[in-house]
Amino acid sequence: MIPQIGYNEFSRRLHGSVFTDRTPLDVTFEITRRCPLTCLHCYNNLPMNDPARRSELTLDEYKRLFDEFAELGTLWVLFTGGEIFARPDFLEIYTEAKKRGFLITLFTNGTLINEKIADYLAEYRPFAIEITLYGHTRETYEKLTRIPGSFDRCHRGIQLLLDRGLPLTLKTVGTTITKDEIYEMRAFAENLGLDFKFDSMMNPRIDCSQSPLDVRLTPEEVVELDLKDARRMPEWDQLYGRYRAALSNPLVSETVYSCGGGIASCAVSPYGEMTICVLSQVDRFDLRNGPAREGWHHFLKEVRMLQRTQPVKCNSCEIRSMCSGCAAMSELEYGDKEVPVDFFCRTNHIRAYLLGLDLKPNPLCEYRPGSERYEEIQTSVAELRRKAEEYGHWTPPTPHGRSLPVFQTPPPQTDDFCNGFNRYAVAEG
Amino acid sequence: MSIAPEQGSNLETLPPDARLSRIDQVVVRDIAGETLLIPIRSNVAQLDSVFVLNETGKFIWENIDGTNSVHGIVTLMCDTFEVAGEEAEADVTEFVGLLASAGLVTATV
Repeated sequence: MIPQIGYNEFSRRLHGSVFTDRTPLDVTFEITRRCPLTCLHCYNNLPMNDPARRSELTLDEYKRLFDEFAELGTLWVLFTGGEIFARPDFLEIYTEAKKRGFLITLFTNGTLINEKIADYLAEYRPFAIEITLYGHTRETYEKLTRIPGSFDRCHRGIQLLLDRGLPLTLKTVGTTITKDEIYEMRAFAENLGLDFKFDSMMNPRIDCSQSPLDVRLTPEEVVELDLKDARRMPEWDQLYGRYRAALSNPLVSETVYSCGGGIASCAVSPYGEMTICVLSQVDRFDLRNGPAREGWHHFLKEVRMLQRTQPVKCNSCEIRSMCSGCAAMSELEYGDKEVPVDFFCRTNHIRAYLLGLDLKPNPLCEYRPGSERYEEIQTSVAELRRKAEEYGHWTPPTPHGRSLPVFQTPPPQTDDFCNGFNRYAVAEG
Repeated sequence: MSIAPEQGSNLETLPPDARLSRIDQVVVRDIAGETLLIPIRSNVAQLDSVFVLNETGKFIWENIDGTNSVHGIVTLMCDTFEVAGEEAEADVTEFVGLLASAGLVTATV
């Protein structure tokens, strides 16, 4: 009567069920965009005393929204910022969410965590906590955050959570400032017995500033980081295979959005605006003036079902399942949901060629055989293949030595196919 | 006598008329056809677990109300489902024992 199943199986089962019956299983609440750090790469941070604080949802408004989302079937809640602990009443908000039976993940930079907060979290344990490191050394960390003392405060926060055995994961973002310390940060985390992950996929700020792009790595640098870890390229290969069948789903192949946003997930801004995800800023439903049910069943459904108005290379792209680009990223980078972001496309193609995937010519894609940038990208691929051999962690297959299987149709995957950080892959068993 | 919500509590040793109570630090969620028990506070033994109930488990859970005993729930089960008394008693005893082991129910005699 109490079946014991692995967490991943449980998650897949629930997520699989919502593709026939849209349910906001995962909701991200941006508690505030205010933050004590001023990271160069951040897409949304505001100063701690920003007047926007007066427009943030109140505790009573959160109580109502939590009731409404629980009624809609939400199970997983992510609280993120800004910095969640920048709100003095965050633990009250958190407690209200706990009372509704949500499985809660906290994204934090850790710098505001004190003993009181850590003790409280030990009593009302979250499902997961993820702290972002901005460097292994103090110098690098504070070069990115631009706040003296932030390195020590972050490490104090980590220790307070560790002392209480809380479910902590460390992660980082690959930037021009942090790239040479990524694997030192991983070793630091693993020595503490913690999981570690990193991502280098960055985008402009949601206020349209392009400033984060100043510290964004080139596609070649992003892939080179993969080559320094024996596990990462095989993981991309698995991702490619796992979600490839989903590409034929009309909810992926014909719509502007192709992720789980609006199908199994959505986001709520600090000001009560419901969107497909935290990056999507144009299509917003005001939860202060309408119930979550209306926002989910009508507004976001229409947004998610938007059909493409023009043929783009992504429609027929067979490696889209491992691409980090999406409509929200396009909106931020080019102001147009339907224009593929070159940074993501180039990064994805370099990875695919290194993995030996047999990419077909596509007149709409400049990186395919016969197209204008094919020879140029192959120069980068050859250089990275040489580096892979030099590093010796992962051996690239012989070029063109592998073909796509064509004789079998895998069972449809109806999982969440949004790439990037998989924030729920922390509990197993 | 009250059974503390700790690992290994064994309700099989209790009289079948012990009254069963749910702890109040657990939330029941019905999501996408699944019934889930979600503990919310760390004095619950298995806080990091989510318990997925089937139809019978849900029925038993809902009838653990501070007044029913194992015996009483067996009677209710036999009235509701097509099940023999012995089988129902074995199922209820086993399930309530699992809930007690997980710290989700207490018993009073």
